[in-house]
Amino acid sequence: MPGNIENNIINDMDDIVVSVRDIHVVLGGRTILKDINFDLKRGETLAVMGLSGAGKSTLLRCILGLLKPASGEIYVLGKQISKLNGKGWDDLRKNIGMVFQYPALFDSLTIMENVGFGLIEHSKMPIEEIRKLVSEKLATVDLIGTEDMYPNELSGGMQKRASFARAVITNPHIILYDEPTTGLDPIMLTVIDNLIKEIKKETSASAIIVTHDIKTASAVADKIAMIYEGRIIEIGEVSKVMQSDNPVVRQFMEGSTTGPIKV
Amino acid sequence: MTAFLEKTGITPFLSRIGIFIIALLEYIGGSVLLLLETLSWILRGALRLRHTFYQMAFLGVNSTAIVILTTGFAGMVISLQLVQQAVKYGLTMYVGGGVAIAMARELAPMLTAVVVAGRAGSAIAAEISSMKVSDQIDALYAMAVSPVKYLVVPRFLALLIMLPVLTLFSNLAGDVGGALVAHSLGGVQFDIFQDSITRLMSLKDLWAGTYKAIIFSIIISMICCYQGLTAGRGAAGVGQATVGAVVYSMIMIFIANYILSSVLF
Repeated sequence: MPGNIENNIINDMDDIVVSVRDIHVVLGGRTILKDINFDLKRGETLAVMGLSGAGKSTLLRCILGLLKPASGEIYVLGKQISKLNGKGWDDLRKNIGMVFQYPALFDSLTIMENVGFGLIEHSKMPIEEIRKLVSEKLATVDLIGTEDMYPNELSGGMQKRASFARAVITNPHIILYDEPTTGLDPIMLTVIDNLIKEIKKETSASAIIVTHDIKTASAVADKIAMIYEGRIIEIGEVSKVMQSDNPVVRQFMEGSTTGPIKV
Repeated sequence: MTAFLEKTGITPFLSRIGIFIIALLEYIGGSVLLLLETLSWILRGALRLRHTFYQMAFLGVNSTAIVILTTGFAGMVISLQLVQQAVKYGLTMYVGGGVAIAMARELAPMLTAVVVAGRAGSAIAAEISSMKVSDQIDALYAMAVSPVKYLVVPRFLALLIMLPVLTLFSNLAGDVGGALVAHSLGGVQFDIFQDSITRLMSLKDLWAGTYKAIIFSIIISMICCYQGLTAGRGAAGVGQATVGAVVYSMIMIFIANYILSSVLF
């Protein structure tokens, strides 16, 4: 496994931005994830795939510190997250962008305030500059002119794109996408896929995308990790995982109802 | 012995009591920790004035009409009871003072708190729990913003300021309502009613009601925010959080009112 950890810091930080080591997650007495290990390299995009309820979103929440694993360690940008205090978390989270499954825009704020939220809260940038930057980001997600609208005035797809703009406005080193294409029509799905690719090209941020959409995974990811029954059963280059002989992976990729996965 | 306890059904009963006590302690502990975190943000100057003013208008100003209506009728009913007896025994000069003391010491602070818990407290719990189920609270954490600083502090400060103010309005509404009933049913002149208030009621009565309102505002804001922040998933979670916020707030208001009354008077 790459990355030598000494004194809670990953030494080859130039290469690895997220390192998950033997994590085990238990929620409500039920084991959700076990023996999860992987590294995410700088600039790399990893798609985490699996059935609904496999623990994919739980993994993202652990990386973001919203859930605490029962055992194991996670290193993000060189920090051992279990050792972080409140300020340490705040500093780390400023370097992570998160796109939630539901857009999670704040209902009481305008799109400008939503997208610029991170900058309004954490930077001393004048509001006019933030507004200019928000307009630029909104233009990249094709939402020009929505600055003064409220989230409930936008469609689901538009809200999703606004949440993309919010996630990238602070130029994070890592972007976490939690099922970014769920509930979208095929055209909007392609729009979101293209958007993720564009963000990757523009920001060179590393990304973890939780999805059960094979098209999205193959379009945007460099690597795929397949989770089944709480474990990563296959991880590697997209082409390698797509051609895997593992019967579970095969059944998932083919969407077949017959095989080792019980439906 | 164990077999006997299980056979008689005592073990499951004791187990349920144990679970209830643990949940209760967890709830109290969580609310107290929330209060401490809220105070620590305030001491660090995280006041968010724009949000606080908005919450003062939403939670306080918008509750004024229903609070005045409720306490106005409370004053009227107290006056109705007093004036019937007072007329019978020729003690109408004490009606004003009786109504005003009852309002200032007990009815105004408690009824105002109960109305605010029902109207504003439910709104707090529903809004925060809706944010919880739609991942907005997690989004705040993800953007390195404390939900306590962003959501709880403005609501805490808004109620801390507005509940005592509403309680003063309640006193006024109750006294006016009482005066109208005393005048129309008992023939008590307004100046006699007013004179009775100034003779019998002391400033201490008003201050005591204000102290109560301050404590009640802390109870309402903490319980309702805590219910919102710890809501379960889905629409059911929002419903349970909202109902729990109102019920627990009211229970705590009644308990605190008894304790405060025995300490203050």
